[in-house]
Amino acid sequence: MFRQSLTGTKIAVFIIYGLSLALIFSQIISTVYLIITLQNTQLSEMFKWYTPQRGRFILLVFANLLWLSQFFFTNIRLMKLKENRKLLTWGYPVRKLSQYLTLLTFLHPMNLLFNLSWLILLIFQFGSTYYLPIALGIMILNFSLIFSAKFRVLTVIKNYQKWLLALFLTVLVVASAMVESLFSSTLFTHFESYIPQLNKILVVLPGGLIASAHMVLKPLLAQIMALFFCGAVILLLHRDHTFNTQQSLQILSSQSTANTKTGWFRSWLCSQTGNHAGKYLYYVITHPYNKIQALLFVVFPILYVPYMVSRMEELGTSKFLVLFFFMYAPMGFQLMFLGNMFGYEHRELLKSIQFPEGLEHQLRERFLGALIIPLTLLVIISGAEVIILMDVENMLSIVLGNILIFEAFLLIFLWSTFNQFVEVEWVSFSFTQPVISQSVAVTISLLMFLFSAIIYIPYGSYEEFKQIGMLVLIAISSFCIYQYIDNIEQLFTSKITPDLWTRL
Amino acid sequence: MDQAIKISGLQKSYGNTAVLEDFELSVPSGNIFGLIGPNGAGKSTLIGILTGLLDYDGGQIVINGRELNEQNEQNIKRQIASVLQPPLLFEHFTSHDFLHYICDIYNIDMQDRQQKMDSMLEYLGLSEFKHAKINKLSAGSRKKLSFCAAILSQPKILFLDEPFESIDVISIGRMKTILNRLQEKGVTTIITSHILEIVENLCDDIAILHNQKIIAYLDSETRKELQKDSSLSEIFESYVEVEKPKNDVLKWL
Repeated sequence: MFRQSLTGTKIAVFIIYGLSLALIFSQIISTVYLIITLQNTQLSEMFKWYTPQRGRFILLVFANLLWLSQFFFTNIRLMKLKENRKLLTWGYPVRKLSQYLTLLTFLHPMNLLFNLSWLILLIFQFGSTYYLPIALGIMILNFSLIFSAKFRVLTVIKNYQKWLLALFLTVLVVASAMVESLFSSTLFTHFESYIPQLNKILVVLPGGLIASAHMVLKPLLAQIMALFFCGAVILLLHRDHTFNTQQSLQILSSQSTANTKTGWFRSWLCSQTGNHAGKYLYYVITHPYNKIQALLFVVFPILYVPYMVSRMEELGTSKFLVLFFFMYAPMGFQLMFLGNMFGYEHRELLKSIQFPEGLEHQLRERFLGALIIPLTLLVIISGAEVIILMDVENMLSIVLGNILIFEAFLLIFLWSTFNQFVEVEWVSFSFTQPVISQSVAVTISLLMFLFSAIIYIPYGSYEEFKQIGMLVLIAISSFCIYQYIDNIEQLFTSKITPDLWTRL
Repeated sequence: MDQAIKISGLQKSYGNTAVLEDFELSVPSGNIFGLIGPNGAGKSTLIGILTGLLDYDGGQIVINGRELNEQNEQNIKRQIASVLQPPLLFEHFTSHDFLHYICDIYNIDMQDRQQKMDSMLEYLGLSEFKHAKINKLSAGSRKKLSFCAAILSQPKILFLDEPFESIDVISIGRMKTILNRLQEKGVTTIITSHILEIVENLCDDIAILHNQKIIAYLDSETRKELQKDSSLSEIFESYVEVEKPKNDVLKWL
């Protein structure tokens, strides 16, 4: 039944998503293999720079980064509480349901990917599959801890958003002001002497603890004790997750008279961009999920760009990475504003259709409103690149590259907005539907990197051909975008309206 | 008498399933018109078509003398308002912001909109929820707010799909008062409802929709005659000819 419900494009997205995950997984595993194999005495002798301390440092940095990535990417939004709550009205036991839902989260492809990576790293470290039970125990314990911690971190973020935002921005400003002096300080000139101390810190961080587990868990008695400990903690955490899910399933909202004071912002947006665009922008900007997304789109460029710009000479052929990070913000905002344009308002759009204003006018206004922030950023960033990089020789290529990458992704997002349309849930970090389906988000991240590599790398004497090629592609993309906008009403009435009406 | 709505030969189907077939209906201007029928008869689809939410496959619809087509669509939409089931509201606006937005769309004069909005909210018992987000309101309050918005847009024709569901008795009485006031001003109201007692008391003409067409049109004169001996509910059952279940069908219960 699931397979029958898939259209050709959905299958294509699934395949690309699967390939992206496979690619990420193979990258992680080959890195694990490389790092562990380097510890082999014979192999390490081949590399003069390799010392056991450095090898350990690399392993600990990798393990902690892997743990950090797992923390960020662990998906806890799968539980579809709203849908599953209906089962309770038919007498389905709430405890059983919450247990199933909690277990289901473990099976998300992204979560499986990280868990399998840990399992393989641990087996490599232990050096035998005989240690599989203990490796499994550590893996599940780690996932349960991350799940539990993430749930709480997100709840705290939700409750103290404004304070955390202020704190974060302060730290960010201080960090970006210090970034240059930090990298030129003695820490990096005498880095070698700091490695043992750094290792001592890294080993007690979560990733370091997992990567070093084999050192203390080889004796049988230690394993039995650790398994007992893991089992007990996993059980407790599972009970905690199940209890939280159970509580969330049973929450009933009651009528509230609480005042909401963001009306001025809505009316300001409407007065600046028009009623329809203003309403849409208000919904996107005030969505709790997007506040964090927006923050991330700002963090990357602010942290990386100043550092990379200061080291352009050393970067050599990897210069394109600077341009890639520069474009991260407009692309991210494009994804946010255009990836699922009709999911925010969803059924409410039927009310707008009833207004005495042409549907085409309304849709175009929304589209142009959605384009304002990404487009403004594109212009600012293209200007900044020209000024900061001072690369007169490649200036035209950079600007053309920016326009091409912007237009190419605009096309992908327009396709996604009509074909991957999902209703956006409004509960902050709702565990149900994300704003953009994860398959689209992962595919876009992968494509963005590939696109940047192809577009921004200088082609030497063939640069002119590249520029002509980009101009042709820009012309084709512009024509396709024009076609989309020209048919926006027809696309909406054929793909979106029937769905909205059947859910009335 | 002028016709507010005149529908002839209307066709609408979802895939191979016909919902309305050669559908004919005329609604006199200034009438409070009741449209009743069993579940799945096509009432909501008809309201959807008349309020511009759904396309239709064939036939002609004339609203206040103008044919409903692309050319006249905006003009007609300016003259109509609706309360659908479930009501269409802007969930993340406050009640006050939502009504303001509606007034902006329908170009309601800035000077007297505040007074109109406040009085409507007060009359229907919504004042305390003025600055609350709509998604925090109860089902009844949401329905009343949708009704307020429809009235504020100053329509000439009002479509109400199950308007009294989830609403308390006092508010139903007040909504009826508003509808009667509007009727005095010449506004036509089309109501679909399963609460036949309300339809019986409030409506002038009533049509029964069944099997994709109008099977009975009861104007006020005919109704007076028929309702001497039976209630609207009994009249409805006699027209719809629902097969009566056997006595022992629920003997397991």
